[in-house]
Amino acid sequence: MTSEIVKYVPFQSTVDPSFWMKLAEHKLNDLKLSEEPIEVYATYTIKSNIKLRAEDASSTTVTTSTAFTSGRMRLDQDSIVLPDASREHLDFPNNVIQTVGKVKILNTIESFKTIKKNDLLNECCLPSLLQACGIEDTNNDKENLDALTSFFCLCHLDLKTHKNVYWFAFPVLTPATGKSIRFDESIAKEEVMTSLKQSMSEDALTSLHKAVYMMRLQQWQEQQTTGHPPFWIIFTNDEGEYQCLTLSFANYDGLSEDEKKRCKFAFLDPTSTQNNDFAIMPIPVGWTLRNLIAYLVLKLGLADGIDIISFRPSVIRRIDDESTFTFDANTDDLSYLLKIQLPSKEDYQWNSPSGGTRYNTMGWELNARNKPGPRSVNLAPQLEPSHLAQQAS
Amino acid sequence: RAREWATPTLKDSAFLQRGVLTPEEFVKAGDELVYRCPTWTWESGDPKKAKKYLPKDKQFLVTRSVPCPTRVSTLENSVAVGEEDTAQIEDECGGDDWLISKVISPEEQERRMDKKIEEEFDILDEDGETLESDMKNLKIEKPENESVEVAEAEDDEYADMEEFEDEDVLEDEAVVAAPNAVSTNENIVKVRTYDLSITYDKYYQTPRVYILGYASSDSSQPLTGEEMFQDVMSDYANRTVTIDPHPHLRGQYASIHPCQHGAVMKTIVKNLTKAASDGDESKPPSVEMYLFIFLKFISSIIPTINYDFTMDVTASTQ
Repeated sequence: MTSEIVKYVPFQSTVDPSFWMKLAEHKLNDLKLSEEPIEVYATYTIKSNIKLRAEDASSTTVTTSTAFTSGRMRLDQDSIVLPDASREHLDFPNNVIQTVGKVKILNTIESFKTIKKNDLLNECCLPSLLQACGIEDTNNDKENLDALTSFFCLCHLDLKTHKNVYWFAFPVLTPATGKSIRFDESIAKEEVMTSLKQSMSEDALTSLHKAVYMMRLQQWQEQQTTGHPPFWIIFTNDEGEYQCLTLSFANYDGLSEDEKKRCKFAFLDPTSTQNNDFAIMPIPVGWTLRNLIAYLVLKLGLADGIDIISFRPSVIRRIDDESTFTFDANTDDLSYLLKIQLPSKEDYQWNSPSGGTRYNTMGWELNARNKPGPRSVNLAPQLEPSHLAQQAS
Repeated sequence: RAREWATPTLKDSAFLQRGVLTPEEFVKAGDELVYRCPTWTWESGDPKKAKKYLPKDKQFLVTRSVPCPTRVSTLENSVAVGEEDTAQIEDECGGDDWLISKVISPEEQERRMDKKIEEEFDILDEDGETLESDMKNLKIEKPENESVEVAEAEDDEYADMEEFEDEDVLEDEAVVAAPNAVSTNENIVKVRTYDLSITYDKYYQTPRVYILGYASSDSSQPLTGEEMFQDVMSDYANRTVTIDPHPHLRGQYASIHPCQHGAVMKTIVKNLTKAASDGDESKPPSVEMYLFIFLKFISSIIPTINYDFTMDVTASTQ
């Protein structure tokens, strides 16, 4: 009997109007007719577990009826760095994950319709993904894992009517059709996905959260990067305490053989849940796990069953000089432990129509009708002079 | 803007005397809000627009994607069937188990609304009269049922997009449909969401609220000014609430004008202090409490925007 396949909740794109306004200016002033993709930034994080105002409890049923909600990839005016601007102000708060992606602005709406979406995604996103996974020119000293949490946006900006058509993709390296990643079949079905509260003692859970906090604190103190790490390695030291290191080839390579055997991998899961008492397990998990698995298989060369933690703190606080570690094992953790059967390297090879094999990405966002298609946004209310004049009167 | 430039930065605390804040106190109160309600975060915004009297990374507070499930007009109409009314009607009709849909005049509706706000806050000035009396001169606007129109416009928008859909796009079995995507089922209600920010207004020396609405939680389509006014109590729409550019971000936001904020806050603070001296357990409010009280007051203006300020704030005393 084969085990269940792992299911994922895709990201949802969330674009602040300020992004479109700045992008339109950039298009007019700098990019002009160029359709070359430009680099932009975005952020995602967890949704704090909100307790809504009690008096409105009755009216919130609409929003809370779904058991979980997608992670949001968010873009705003800070996403675009204009050529003349210094990059120093790009310090994203360290309670969000910063991602780097590309925007391709098409000059005509017709080309938006006719452009081959699958090929476009492979062309624009596959090289950096393969590089991150060590398939192409591996340089371990300068490892860059940005591609594992990346995004792509194809758009057309109507600079006269301010109506923009756009389509986001969250590219993932996927195994070929029929080779979807499954839970570990050597584990009982009830145990392939368990809440950490269930599978760990309170002390161990506290120790784990403390280790994540220490990793973030150290990262903040060293100022190497900003933002919360999207992936990390969890292992136990000789005293049985948890320790965390951000995911990198060097950090994994530095572990002892024994540590490597017992280590777990974690990703910050932006999928939010109200609680974690689900009647039916396993439940779908965050999108970024897909590229994490590709990395573990292709770059680190791991195989067989592996422990992965879908890390879901109830809140991520910013780290600064005054921050201290606080944790309540009863309320502050909604994480899951996943027992996953890693695919083989060969599973990532797709049969190419022209013969031979190739790698493949997918991840175009579905539109509001749940169909593969773009979305549109009308910025006239934010920009139209007549409207503004009316509002000013 | 010139006025703001010309006003010296407030140096000494006048929280208890005038209901205003120094920039330092704003940061203190903001830190407390962020700590207790982590849905709120500090933002730095456009560095070119940064205010020197506030820390670079603590220019304003933000909470995003706040659900706003109903329009204010439904709330304003529902005043007519409040509990005491039902009881009253029942008495009048001999306790029969039926309800008369009582038609209430705009004046009556306004009176009840004022009363409701009064009860919520007991905003009293020195003479014991309600500050709301200013508001009585304002006409109540008939709530228009625009939601139908809006829904139609949105449907058109999706119809437009249909021709762009591309069935060749690779999909795989491991993906679950985004649970918050709007289903094609017509019955599913689109819940508007709002981004709220709180800035510090140097001229009025109080926090100031800017809001920007979106058509649904799944959409990045900003609402028009008129649509946002549907989520503001009609007493305030277009008067104390206006459409203005955000001081730190690009774009037009609905903003609650802060001219009365100091006076209202002073009154609430005074009543809270009085309660304390009357022997209640609670202490006079500290500066850290400011934004919790302030947000409760703001929620009387935008009651259907369901933002988070969960902390026990009892602002009603006689």
